Amino acid sequence: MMENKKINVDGLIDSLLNMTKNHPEILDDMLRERGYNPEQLERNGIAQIKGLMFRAQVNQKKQQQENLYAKALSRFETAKADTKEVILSLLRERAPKLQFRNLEKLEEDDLKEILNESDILDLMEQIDKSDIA
Amino acid sequence: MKVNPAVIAKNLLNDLGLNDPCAVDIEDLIIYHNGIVREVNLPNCDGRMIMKHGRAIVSVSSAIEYPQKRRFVLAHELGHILLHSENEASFTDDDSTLEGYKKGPQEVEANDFASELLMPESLFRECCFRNKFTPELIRSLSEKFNTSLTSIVYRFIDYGNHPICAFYSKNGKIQYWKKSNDFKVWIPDKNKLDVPSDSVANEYYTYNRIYRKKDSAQEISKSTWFTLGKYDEDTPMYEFCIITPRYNTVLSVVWEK
Repeated sequence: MMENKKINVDGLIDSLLNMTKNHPEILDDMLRERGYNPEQLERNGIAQIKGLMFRAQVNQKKQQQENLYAKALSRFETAKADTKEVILSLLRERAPKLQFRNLEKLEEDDLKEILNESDILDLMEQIDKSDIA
Repeated sequence: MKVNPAVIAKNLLNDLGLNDPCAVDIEDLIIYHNGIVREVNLPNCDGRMIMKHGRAIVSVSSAIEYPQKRRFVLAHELGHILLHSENEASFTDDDSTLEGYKKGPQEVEANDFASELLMPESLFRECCFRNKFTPELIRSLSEKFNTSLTSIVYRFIDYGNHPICAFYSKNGKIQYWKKSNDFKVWIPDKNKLDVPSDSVANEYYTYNRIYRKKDSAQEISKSTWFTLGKYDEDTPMYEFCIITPRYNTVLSVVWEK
C-alpha cells in the first residue's frame, strides 16, 4: 500500500519544466508567492553579469595599456630644449585636429609634458600596430 | 545632435551593470575606455587629458588632498573622453573649469556628466529627503557619494530639499554665484567685487580664520550677501565656507533656517 503513495520526484520536476516551458509566467507567480520580485531579480542578475564582463575587460585592458605605455616610454627621448613657441607650433603641426583649450596660458614645462604625452600616444599606436602585424 | 551628458552617464552605469555609483572606481572606467591614469605633479591644474588614436592619458595632480576631489576630477576627465574626443583632444582643468564658472560648453558638459555619474539625481534626492540642511549634511553626502564637498553643494542647489545659495570667491574677489530656484533673494551683480566685509569668507581672506567643523555654520545677516527689498527684514542667515588654500578660494554656502 505504501509503495503506491511514493512520490516520483523526477516526474514532478519534468512536469514542472514542461509546464513552465509553455507558460513561463508560472515561475514568476511562484516567486511572487514567496515574496520575491521577479523583475528585480532579473535586473539584478543581468547587472551582475554585465559587471563581471566589465571587470574582466578592465583587467585585460589594464594589462594591455600598461605594457604599451611602458614600451613607448622606454623608446622615448625626454630631453627637449625647445622654447614655448616652438613647442606650441610643433603641437599644432603634429596634431592639427587637436582641440587646444587653455594651451596658450600654460607654462613651458606643462607644454612639454603635453607634447611628451602626445608623442607617447603616437608611439603606443605604432607599437600596437607593429605588434599586430 | 546635441548630447545630453546626464543621459550618457546613466547609460554608462546601466550598460556596465554598475548598480552602486558610490562604489564605482572611476580609474577602471577610464581604463575601460582605453585610458591610462597617472598621478603627477601638475602645478597649474588639477587634471589633464590628452587623447589620440582612441587612447587617452589622464593626468591627475598629486597635490589634491582629498580622494573625493580626485574622484571628481577623474570623472570630469572621463566626461571629456566620452563627450569631446573626436579622435584627438586635449583638456587642461583647474578650479575655473571644475567649478564651472567659466561657462565653456564643454566644461559644463564634463561637469554635468561627472555629477550624474557620481551623484545620480534620483539617489541624491532620496538621500536629501527629510534631512535638515546643515554643513554636516553636506559632509555626510560627500562621504556617502564619495565625491568632493564642492560638487555636493552644486548638486544640492539643483536637487536638494532646502534652498541655498553658493558664492565662489578667489583671492577675496567673487567669481561666480549660483542659487536654488526657490531661494527668493535679490543678488546684485557681485562678480569681481570683494567678498562682503562682514562675511565668513572675508574672515578667511583677512585673518586666515578657518572654523572648526562643529562651528562651521556661522550666523550672518541677510544683508551680508543679499540686497534687501523695501519690505525685507534683515533676518539671520547662515554661512558655511569650503576653503581650498591651494588656490586661495572659498565657496560660501548661505542659507536660511
